[in-house]
Amino acid sequence: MSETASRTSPKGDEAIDRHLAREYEAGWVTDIESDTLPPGLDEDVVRFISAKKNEPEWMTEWRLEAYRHWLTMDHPNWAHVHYPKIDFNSISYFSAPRSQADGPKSLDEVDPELLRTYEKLGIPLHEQQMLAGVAVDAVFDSVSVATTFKSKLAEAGVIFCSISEALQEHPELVRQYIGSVVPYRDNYFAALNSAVFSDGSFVYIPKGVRCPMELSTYFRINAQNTGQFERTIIIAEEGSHVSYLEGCTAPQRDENQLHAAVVELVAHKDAKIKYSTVQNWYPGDSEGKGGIYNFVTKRGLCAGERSHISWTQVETGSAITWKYPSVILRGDDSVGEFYSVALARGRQQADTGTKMIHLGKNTKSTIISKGISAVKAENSYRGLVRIAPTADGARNFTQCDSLLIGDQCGAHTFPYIESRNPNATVEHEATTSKVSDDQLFLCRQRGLDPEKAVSMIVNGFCKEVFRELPMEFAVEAGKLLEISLEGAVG
Amino acid sequence: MLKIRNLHVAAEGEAILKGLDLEVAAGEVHAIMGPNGSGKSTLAAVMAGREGYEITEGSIEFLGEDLAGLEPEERAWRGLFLAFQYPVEIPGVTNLEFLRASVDAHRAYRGEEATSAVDFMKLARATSKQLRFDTDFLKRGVNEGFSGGEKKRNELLQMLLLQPKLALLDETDSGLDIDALQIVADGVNTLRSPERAIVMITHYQRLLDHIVPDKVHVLSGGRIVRSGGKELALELERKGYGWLEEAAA
Amino acid sequence: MAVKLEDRIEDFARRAREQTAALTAPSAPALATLRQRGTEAFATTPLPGAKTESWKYSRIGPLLEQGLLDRPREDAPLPEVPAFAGFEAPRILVVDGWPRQLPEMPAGITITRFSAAEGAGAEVLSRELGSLAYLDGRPFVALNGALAEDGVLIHVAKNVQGGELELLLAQSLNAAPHGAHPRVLVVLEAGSSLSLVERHLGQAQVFTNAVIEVRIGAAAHLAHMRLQLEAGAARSLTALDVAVARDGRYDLQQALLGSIFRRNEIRIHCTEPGAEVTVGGATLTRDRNHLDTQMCLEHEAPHCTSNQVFRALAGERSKTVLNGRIHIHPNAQKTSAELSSRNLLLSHDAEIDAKPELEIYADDVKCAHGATIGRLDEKSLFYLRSRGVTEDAARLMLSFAFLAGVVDAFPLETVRDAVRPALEAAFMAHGMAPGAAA
Repeated sequence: MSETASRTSPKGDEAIDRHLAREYEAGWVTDIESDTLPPGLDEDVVRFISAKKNEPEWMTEWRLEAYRHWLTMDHPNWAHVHYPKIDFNSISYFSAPRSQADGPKSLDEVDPELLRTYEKLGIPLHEQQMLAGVAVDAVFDSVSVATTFKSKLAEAGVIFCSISEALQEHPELVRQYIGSVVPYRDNYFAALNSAVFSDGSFVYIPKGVRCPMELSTYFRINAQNTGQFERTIIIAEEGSHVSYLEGCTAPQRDENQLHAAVVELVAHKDAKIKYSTVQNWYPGDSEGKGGIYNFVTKRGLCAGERSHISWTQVETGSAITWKYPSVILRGDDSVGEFYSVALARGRQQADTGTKMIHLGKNTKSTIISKGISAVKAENSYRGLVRIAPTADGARNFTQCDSLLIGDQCGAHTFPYIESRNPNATVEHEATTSKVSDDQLFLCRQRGLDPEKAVSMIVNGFCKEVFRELPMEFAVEAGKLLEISLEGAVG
Repeated sequence: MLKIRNLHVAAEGEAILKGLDLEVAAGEVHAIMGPNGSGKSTLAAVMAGREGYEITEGSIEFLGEDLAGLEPEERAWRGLFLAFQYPVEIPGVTNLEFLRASVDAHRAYRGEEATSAVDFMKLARATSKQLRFDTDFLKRGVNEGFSGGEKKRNELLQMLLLQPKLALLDETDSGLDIDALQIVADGVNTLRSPERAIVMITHYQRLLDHIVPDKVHVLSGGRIVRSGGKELALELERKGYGWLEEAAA
Repeated sequence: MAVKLEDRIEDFARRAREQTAALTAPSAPALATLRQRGTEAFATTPLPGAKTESWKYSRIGPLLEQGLLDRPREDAPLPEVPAFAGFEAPRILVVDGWPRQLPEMPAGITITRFSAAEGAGAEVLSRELGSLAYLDGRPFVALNGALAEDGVLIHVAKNVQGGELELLLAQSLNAAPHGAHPRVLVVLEAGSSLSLVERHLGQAQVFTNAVIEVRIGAAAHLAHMRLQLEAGAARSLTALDVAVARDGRYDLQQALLGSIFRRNEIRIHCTEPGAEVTVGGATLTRDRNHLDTQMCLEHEAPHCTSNQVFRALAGERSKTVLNGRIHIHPNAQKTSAELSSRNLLLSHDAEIDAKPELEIYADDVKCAHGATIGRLDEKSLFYLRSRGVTEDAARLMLSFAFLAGVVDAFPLETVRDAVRPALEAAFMAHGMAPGAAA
């Protein structure tokens, strides 16, 4: 079962941030503690999930429609990734958090390899315990602190809560927006998510409000044989601003686990949403055993004039990544951005990119994608830039660079460029390079060991993306790359 | 400090150095001159430990240690510095972070603490000022979009920060105008000291007007064919290399 | 009543299978093998449907109409071949897929019908025919093999400099819709060379489904110029499969107009080190033209280079598609591969789809692609107008200049001189000028 810990942090205040990092929020998971469904999926399971969450009837009906539609769909096979057929009936779609008795009782029982990684990331001990699946009561102690921020947000009129909570407290808002950007018919995994989504975040920024702090959520997958299907909705009303951070990690398991999330963003007139992700789901071992299947649909709608949606992602984890955070540029003069670093090593396979759909006049999009492939990984950029006949004056710029480390990995670029407007301009460039012997030799002559040298060169390669991340995330992302590259240099 | 004995080096199966002998003592400045293809740059590369060169015979001893078994970074930590003829670009990595990583790697080897960000910044600023770089320079990517002269001065900056025991300058004067040459030479001269040695590899004599060597060697056909004082460089300037090649043949 | 596309496709496939069954087996062994393999492959290869990735931007509809599978007549009246300014090379005339006229060639160059091949020619055929145009997943290549009436072998012996040659793929004057399945095999032995000008003629409602295979031996050089300068109702589908051996050179330059349906599938394999490939494409579509280029460069060996340049103009209600794939196989180290695609949209009703792809499995390579879709440079436009050129004239001038770079790369001056006015004429045709379209 998924456990979603939310936190809020004021910009720039690192001490508080550290303290608050990855706190559990009260009431998130408590209702459902004792219920677990056996693996399998049918209409009763969908009804059960909805009933457990005490959802309004329209929500149950919507889930069921999504489920019925899902049954008519085929598993997509167009991505450049290969994996055995998923048996959706072997997955449990509803399960309480593992009881504390089942989990590791202390860090001594946790794989030391995993702990080493956390240490290098500079994650404090209690957090390490949490991330490793050790239940820690202490994290609940600070609930009051979290609530303080909640009230501060409430003062500004910002709603930041779980989607389950939103369905109780603000059902009209959820009903208005859920499925409005990613309809359940959109794709196979979006349909599945719509039927069985477990939880997720809901953010609403009222008109003219600049969200007083960065909002963030950490996701993790803990239990075995469970899928995680969270659903996130962020609404920015006219003239509002919000920056949202998302971190993901999962403990090490030998089985593959499915993560099929849906994220919907809506930016109204003059609103801006910045969505940053650092994804470090367990990638499986060096032979490709285990790891997360990360099949995610993320899409933003620039609904109003001059609205702005920016996706930044650093993807280092997951056995398979299938993810295309996209923007529909409907409002005139709206702006869409996609900044991405995707690192695949070992036997990881990543197929990721974006779609920029230009509908409005003078809409503008920028795509910067940095793909790094090492060892035996497969890394693909897949992107669509579509200029509709209505998008007079639209502009797109795409830069897509691949870096190869080793001669047994693959780096691929599949851009789709479709233009139907003579007054639009689209520019796409892609290059491929390797860490050159000359660069490596210069670094080593200056005293850097080969691993440090490679990680420095790779960090430099990613700089255009890292500088789009909030400071704290940028540091974490850099460290993640460094750790991920360990042993990748031959 | 440096003892090279009967050094034979091959690259891609072809013999390039064929029995080279050279001794450099602390405090000395040597110039190695020679025509194109005589093996000058091979000597620099093999000393720094570049891949693709095979020592087939002989040895390079630095501070009493045979270099053959050492990785390039291990040689650097022991105080060997190579100023490259063609410094490579590393896009996105800023000069500042590169310099600091490099200085800290050296300090770690010596068992010293890493530098504090503030102290290092001060030092790097002062040193770049000495080489007449503007302050923006430290924020730019390593050699990214640099002119030829800027790249060479950047090599010098690294050298001044790392304070090596033995500095190898591979054609450091090539591509420099007279002003830049003067800046570079001034920088090198500040490094001259009784504990340090400098080996300049150059095709032309003009660098030696600015950095006056104690000894001059002529490399031809993979061997040192003649050694002498600084006046040998002037003689070469007048007569070219032809007469020596003939004499060696 | 509208018939569902799936049903039309199924109907087409059924008719095609019936037709293959009705043909009598040819006596020439190479042709018999070609037919048999094609028939078998066609029976098991589905036609492209709505979800077939490589047909994403090409709708198969225009190929499915009644009559387009009808067998071509061997004795249909020959078309008049328009003169080609200054170009007087020996000519191979293939009409409706039937080789009708073959030139006499000097020693070292063999040009023969598959059905008449003997001795060394027959040997080359049995070795090479079908070895390049693979059948897997390619129903129309299979159909070509199944329904090919005959074919032409062009063979240049070792170290022979073959000079210039024209290959005309034309429609007959038989006005009724029908099908045609031209098949050509070009083999250049080691050290030989040839300049081949391939022209497609005919604007009638005929389905021409051509397959051309080209094998370039070690250090051999083929300069290949492809001209598809007639539009109209022709349904044209051409597969070109090329393999280039050690130090071989292949230069393909194309000047293309669209038609109601035109699709060129090109696959070039660099099979041994040192192979060098250049490809150029100047394309222009108007009216309701459809032009789809499916380009794939297979770098299978180290130390090969490829350079591709495409320039496209699309006006009125036309659609231009380029899928430019570069595939670097494992071990193809030190490859240098580049593709540039620049496109201008000239009308609000036109569409350009570009899909440059890189698929890379070796690390020490230099690969890049760039694609732009845009409009004329406003500064240049202003500059010309400030010198007194009218806006329409300036737009025409700049648009055409956009294609000129590719046209200039045609290696034969006579061909360049013929291509320019042909493109200009098409460009000047009604409605093409962007000013008029607005």
